[in-house]
Amino acid sequence: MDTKKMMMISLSIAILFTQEQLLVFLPNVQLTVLLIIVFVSVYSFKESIILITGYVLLDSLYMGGLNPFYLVPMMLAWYLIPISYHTIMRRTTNEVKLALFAFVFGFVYGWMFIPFRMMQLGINELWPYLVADIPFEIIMATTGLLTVLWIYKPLYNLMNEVVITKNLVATKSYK
Amino acid sequence: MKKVIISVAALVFLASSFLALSYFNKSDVEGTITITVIDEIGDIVSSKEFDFTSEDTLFDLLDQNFEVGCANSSYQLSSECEKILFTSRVLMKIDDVETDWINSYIAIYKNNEYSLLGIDNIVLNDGDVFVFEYKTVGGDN
Repeated sequence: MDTKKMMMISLSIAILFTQEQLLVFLPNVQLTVLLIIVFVSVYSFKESIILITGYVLLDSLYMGGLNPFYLVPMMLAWYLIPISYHTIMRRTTNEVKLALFAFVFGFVYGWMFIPFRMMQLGINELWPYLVADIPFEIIMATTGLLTVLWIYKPLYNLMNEVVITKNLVATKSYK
Repeated sequence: MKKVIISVAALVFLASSFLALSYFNKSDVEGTITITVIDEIGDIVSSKEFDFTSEDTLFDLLDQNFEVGCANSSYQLSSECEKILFTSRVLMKIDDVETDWINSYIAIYKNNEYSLLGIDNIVLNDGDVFVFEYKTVGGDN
C-alpha cells in the first residue's frame, strides 16, 4: 500500500469518527453506513478491512474503553459490508441495490449485538431483546436506505475522482 | 422517480412502525405503582407506593421522589437527565445506589420480570411493581 492510500484511509477513519460523534445525540441516525459503503466501493477489500478495523478500534476506545462486548459485534457487523460488497453484491455501484442492502444491514447490525448483550447482562431470553431493539433497527435501516439512495452516487463519483486523479499525478510525477 | 417512490415508502414504513409501537405502548389513565430500590449488597433501600395519572411517566415519578442521575452521551454519570429523542435515558443513580455503566448498571424489573425496555419506554399500569436493582455486569439475573 502506498503512502497516499494510507493517508486517504486515515482521513476516511477521521471523517467516519467525527460524523458519528457529531450525530451521537440522535440514536442510530448517522452517515456511517453510507460512508463505509462509499469507502468500500473505492478501496480494495484489504484496504476496506484496514479502514474498518481502525475505525472500530478508535470508536470502541473512545466510547467503551475497548469493551469486547461492543468491539467484537461492531467489528463483525461492519466487516459484513466489504465481505458482502465483494461477494453477493458483485461490486455494484447501483445506488438502489446498495440502498436496499443498507436497509437490510440496519437490522443485521442490531442483531449482531444481541448475543453479546445477552452474555453481558446475563439475559437468557432472546425475543424480548429482539422486540426492544426493533425501533433502533428501523431508524438505522431507514437512515441507511435514504442516505445511500440519495448521497451515495455523488460521494462515490467524488471519491473515485480523487483516487484516479491522485493515481494520475503519482504516475506522471514518476515518469 | 424510482428513488422518490422508494424514499416515500421508507418514510411511510418508519412512521407506521412508530405509530404501531406507540399504540401497543399505552399507559393506564391513573393508578398506583410500587417502586423498590435495591443496593449493591442486596438490601432494600426504599420501597414506596406512588399514585400516577396519564401525565406521569416512570421517570417522572422517580425524578420527583428520588435523587436520580443519568448517563450523558459518553456514558458518564450526570445529574442532568434530559429527555433523549427517539430513545430512553439510561438511569445510573437512584439516591445512594450509584453505577458506572462499565462494571455495574441498574436493572429494572417490572412485576418480577427483567425489563428490556429503557425507563422512558416502560408503560405504567395500575398495580405494577417496579424494582430497581444494582447489578454487576455479567452477573446473574
